[in-house]
Amino acid sequence: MSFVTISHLRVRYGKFEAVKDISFEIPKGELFGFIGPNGAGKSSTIKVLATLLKPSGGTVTIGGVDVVKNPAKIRRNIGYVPDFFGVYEDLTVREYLHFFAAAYEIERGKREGLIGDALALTDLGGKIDAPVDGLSRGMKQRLSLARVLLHDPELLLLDEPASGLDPRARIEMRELLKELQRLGKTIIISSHILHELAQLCTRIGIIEAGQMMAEGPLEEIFRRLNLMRVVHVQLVNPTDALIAAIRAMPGISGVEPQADRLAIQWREGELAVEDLHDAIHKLGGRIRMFQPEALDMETAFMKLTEGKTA
Amino acid sequence: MSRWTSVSLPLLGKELIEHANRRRTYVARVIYAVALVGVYGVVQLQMSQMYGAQGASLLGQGGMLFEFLFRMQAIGILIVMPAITAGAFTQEKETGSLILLLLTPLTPAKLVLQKWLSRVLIMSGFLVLALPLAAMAYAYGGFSADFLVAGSAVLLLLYLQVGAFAILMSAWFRSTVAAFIAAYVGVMTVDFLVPPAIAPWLAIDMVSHLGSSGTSLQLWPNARHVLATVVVMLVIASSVLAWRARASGGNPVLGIFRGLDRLFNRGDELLGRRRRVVSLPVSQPIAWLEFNRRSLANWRYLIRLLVPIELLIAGYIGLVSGGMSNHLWLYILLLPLVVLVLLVLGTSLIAGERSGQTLDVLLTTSISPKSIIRQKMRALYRILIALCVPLLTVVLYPLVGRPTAFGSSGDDNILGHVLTISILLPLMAWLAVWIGLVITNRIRAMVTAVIATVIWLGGGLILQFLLLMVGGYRMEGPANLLSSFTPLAMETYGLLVGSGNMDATPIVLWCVLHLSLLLVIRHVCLSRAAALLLRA
Repeated sequence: MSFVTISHLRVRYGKFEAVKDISFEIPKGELFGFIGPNGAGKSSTIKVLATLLKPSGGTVTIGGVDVVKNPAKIRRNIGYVPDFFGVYEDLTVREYLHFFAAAYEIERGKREGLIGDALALTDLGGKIDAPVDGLSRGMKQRLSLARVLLHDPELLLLDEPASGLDPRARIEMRELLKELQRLGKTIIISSHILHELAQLCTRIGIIEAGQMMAEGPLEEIFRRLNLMRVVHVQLVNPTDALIAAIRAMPGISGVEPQADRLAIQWREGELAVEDLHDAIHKLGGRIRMFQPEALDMETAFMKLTEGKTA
Repeated sequence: MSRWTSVSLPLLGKELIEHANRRRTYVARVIYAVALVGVYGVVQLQMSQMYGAQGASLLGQGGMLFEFLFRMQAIGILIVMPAITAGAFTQEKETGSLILLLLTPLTPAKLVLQKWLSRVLIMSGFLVLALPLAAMAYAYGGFSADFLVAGSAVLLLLYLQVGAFAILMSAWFRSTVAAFIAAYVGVMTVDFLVPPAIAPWLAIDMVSHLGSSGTSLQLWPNARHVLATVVVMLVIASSVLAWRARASGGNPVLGIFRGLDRLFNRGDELLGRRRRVVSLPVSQPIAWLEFNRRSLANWRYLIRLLVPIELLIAGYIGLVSGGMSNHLWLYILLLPLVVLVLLVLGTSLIAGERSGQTLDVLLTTSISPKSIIRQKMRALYRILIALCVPLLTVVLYPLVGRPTAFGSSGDDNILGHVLTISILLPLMAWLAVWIGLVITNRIRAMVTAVIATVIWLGGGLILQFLLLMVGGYRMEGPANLLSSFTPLAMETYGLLVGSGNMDATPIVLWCVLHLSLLLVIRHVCLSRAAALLLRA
């Protein structure tokens, strides 16, 4: 059962059409990565979901509720983190979160507890009396997440949450998002940093020039594109005969001997990774390391897109 | 390459290209030209009536026409120049691009000079619109070419000086709102209260003395003083630009009051009293934010600010004593200042959230768009009430000890002033909020609000004047009722009622019309809140 349904969505700014008839569905509890170059239509789509932009056409529902017809109900069920962090001058973290607790109409008696929980989850407990202005960019981004967790929304909309963050802050953000997914949140995250989404998302949508080029689980997209996958194998006995035998296996596209390993390209649709492992073993290969490479999102992206802008 | 061909003015070029590419540049010029021609036409018509209906009767009266045109242009400079200049650097500061400019080989002095020159050239574009009218006035004869040169030179000095002052404010202040208010307050204060000691240094003083002094040579000593102040202001602006570019934002008055709060808290602790607990929002978070953190909407701070102002006003009025006519200038000075503050705060009400990039986040919370505007307006109303206190003190002080004088106090137009304050000011506040909602760029919204207000109030005064002319300077019949449509009508009606010359119908009509307009604008802002707030 889909939690988010986007059907024939169109977004127009005057004569310019930013989103052109896109449709996709996101099941509950998924972490959906929205990928595309700058100006592809990612933020426009997210803004429609956040009730900040009225679509020119199509329908968008969250949990069966239409975002255009019932924005007030939608707002109680979503948490939106924009790609910037608007700061209210001179507020402390406590005041900032109390401000939004009041804005989300959370009962007064429950606020302290919820704020404490959100700060603990985002690892900002020690900063409760610190001025928001003085927080680092990574902390501000985590504070934004704490803000949207206060009213316990089912859907989180994160527009480029990792932009401008240093590597440590990115890793912290990634772990936090995984934790939120474990808590049952449905998350839509837009980014153009591909390898980051590959490590994080259960589904992706690739958008270019306002059109959805591909959508679904990452493995399915790879299968559909008939993309090669790569596994790095370190053998104790990498003889020429063994390499030739691996090369001759069905589903194998190539074997490239590297300094201390073999980089084996295989077609996932024809040969499961577990079967490849067994086959090498049966051929007499003594395996020291067997490491399939993460799905190569960049290859998928480059294959699906042409570098067009809307 | 010669010295002159190597001179490069990239910032000036960029500013002028941007200005030329904007549609509103041409709209503003057309409005300015129409207003100028309209007012000039009215004056010429009136002079024709005075000197006889035939065109030839005006021969030899060109001096009066030119002097009027010259004064109109001076008023135009005082209104337009701060508006186009105050945001010159503050906008760069708000977008973070000033630091980038300071990292280029352009020195602060070059930046200041190019920004100032761009505004001077833009203002020149407005002033040349009056050339055909000046030519017409010259054709009637009655003044020398030297008078023409002197007038043009004074105007030039005026906008050089006003521009330099506004650039200084822009270099000093962190926000466009603060620079905008400071530039206008400075210009208006000097305009109304030219201190004798510094009068020779002010171009505005030359404006008021042009008719008597007359020739360009006589103006030269003052011109040197004015040019010296221009140079000094530009030098100060250059020297503070880099320092102020790094200055943190925030309201300095608010900072002083917070410092006082800390001092009082420490005093309470020493005396063993309970320390004041920092309040947290309960039900209306936006109103809480406005009252506590954003502006001088906090009652405690407002009272601290108002007490010294009230003491000064009361002390002054007590000294001059007598009717309000003795301190009418105070009312004339305060009313435009209050209107200006309301326009700036009203247009910034939502524009501030937009430029701070917090509006999108607010709009995805459970607070409805209508409630966002309502909560914001609570703070603006509080400031409005506080601003009305000094105005009402000036107006109502003459009643102290003689309460029966209300509405019938001879030359004291108390009723008219009270009606203007109580109806027109809230109307201006809502008008500014509406403009701020429709025009998403803060500085553009402010400039539009100021210009629209000047046109509305000024146009109303011209209409009143025309109606007086048509009615033979007797406010009776249809002219009387038509006059109720003008916003500043109460400034004269109350006076007429007070002296028993007129019935109260136009007053009732004025109140109904302006209250209705207020309610309509308020209704539009609230009923279309979602669409207006979601404008990109």
